[in-house]
Amino acid sequence: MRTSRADEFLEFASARTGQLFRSACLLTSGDVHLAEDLTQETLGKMYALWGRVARIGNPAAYAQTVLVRTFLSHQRRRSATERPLGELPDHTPDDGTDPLLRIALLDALAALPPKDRAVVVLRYWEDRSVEETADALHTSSAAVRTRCTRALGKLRQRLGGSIGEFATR
Amino acid sequence: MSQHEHHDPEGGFADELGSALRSTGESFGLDGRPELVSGGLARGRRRLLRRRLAVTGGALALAGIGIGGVYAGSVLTPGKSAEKASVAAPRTPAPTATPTPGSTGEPASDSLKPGMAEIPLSQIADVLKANTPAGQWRFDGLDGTGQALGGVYDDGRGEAAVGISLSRAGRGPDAGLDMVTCPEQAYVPYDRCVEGRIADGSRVMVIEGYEYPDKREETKSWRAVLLTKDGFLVDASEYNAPIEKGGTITREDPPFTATQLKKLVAAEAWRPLLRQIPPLPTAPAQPGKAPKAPPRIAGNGVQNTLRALLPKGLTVADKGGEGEFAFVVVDDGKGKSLVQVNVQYGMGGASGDLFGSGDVTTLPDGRRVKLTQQPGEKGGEGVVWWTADTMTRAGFRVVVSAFNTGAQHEAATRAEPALTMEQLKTIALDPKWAKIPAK
Repeated sequence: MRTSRADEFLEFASARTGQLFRSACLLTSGDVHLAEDLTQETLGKMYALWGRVARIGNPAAYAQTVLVRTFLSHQRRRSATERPLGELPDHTPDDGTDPLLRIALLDALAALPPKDRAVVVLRYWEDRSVEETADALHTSSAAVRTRCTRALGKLRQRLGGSIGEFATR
Repeated sequence: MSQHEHHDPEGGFADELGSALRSTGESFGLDGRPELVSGGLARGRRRLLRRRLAVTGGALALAGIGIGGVYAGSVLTPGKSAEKASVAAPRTPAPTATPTPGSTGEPASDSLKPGMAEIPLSQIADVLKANTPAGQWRFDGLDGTGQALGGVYDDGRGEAAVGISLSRAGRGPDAGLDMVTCPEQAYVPYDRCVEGRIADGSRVMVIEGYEYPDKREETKSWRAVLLTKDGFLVDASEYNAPIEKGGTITREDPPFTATQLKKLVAAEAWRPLLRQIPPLPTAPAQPGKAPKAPPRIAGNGVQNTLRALLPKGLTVADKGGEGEFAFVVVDDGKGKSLVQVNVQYGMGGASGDLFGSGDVTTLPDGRRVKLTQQPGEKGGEGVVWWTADTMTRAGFRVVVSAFNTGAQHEAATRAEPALTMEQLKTIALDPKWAKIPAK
């Protein structure tokens, strides 16, 4: 008997929503409300695509790509004046993460253009290759490299040497 | 290439950044956010329904002929909970869905406020069942209200998705006409499309088409749309599969014949439900802005100008479009190439969306020019889509695109479009566009 689309989807969504939401939080540099919205929108798109995605294989990776694209198209529609820079999460984590690192990193991410931020998240949070990142963003590998170099430069400038200390704590 | 990465002086920093991202990312937990999954599912269902109802023929998506404002967000009221402004529903109106204030025959019922219709879904289901052949119906839920409904029908020969939607066509004498006009084959392939009128003067179109313009799956999408003389639309779609995308087909054709589909949309019983649909907002919902409608171009001016501006040496194999939109299929001897143009006034509000990113230059006279090369999005194999988008300070937009195929949903016929980016830009910036009469 066929299981319903909703059942299959719910199983997928229950397993993947956490990761999607975390990625969304990084993409939005800590704007958790927007991150919630992006996560739901991504899940909605996945549900609508479900039959095809389930057949293509690796729906989890595909969902992350959908998330990044949804984020970018949302940014494109948004006027520059609306963009809250350096907006911080509305709750304090209770998992022992260094709060200074969180603040510094989210702040530094917020200062990047959205597409650069997307490149950073795909490359260094999701460990995608340059080519995979280029695919996800519908751009060329050369463009990803350029954005990457530029973004890393800016992040390093803002975070200084401190990131090393944070990371090794 | 990878050599570059191995010698990346940023390598050490990149590793540290990775750890920092992981520890920061992991700190965002799902605790207290149980609604993400259920909300995602609800959005997915609405998205499916909206797609089933709104984009079936493809004709409607074509150049976005005013449908956005009618359908977007108004298809189904999700229970009573008003959705907050969301990424799915940008406040900026879709660029092409410009409501044109004007006269329609319909005297707006004063008791109804603009907004979503709140027709009990069970009533929509009743009319749907009463005006289709006997069979088993399954609906996702009939408790809510709205103006559209999707369900699965089975006459014993295979389950089939069916959707029905009731709406107002919009304002202006031509509102909704595009919904009852058979689309150009260059954009939407179909087996049969018939348009005409029924006894009470309503216009009706029945199209037997496909879910995917490139027919990559066998799902057929048949649809009938009725436009009443007082500006209401009744729109019915059916498929030969229980879901419209990604499902295995259950039968060769959708269950209802073209005649049955036409009878369904023409049913008298829709009238009392249609009258419950609130009138459209009288002005663009932008507080503080003068509700003056931008001029619109009608007739063949854009089509004629496009042909006049084409470089020499191109044969025109096909042409079409009207008003602010026109296309030609040209051939330079190396294969067909679709070239299309939109000429729009009053697009200043969308300038941030259109010119906020990408390869944008500003000319000395203040006009902005954005050049884009991207893959086609209608499924044609190897299709590329080149665009020169231009806008004056006053919001007058001319956007010219070219494809390396004669129809977007068909495979590429050549490596590149017949026009270069420079030629597209030259055409888009030509002063003749601004001289086309508009009112």
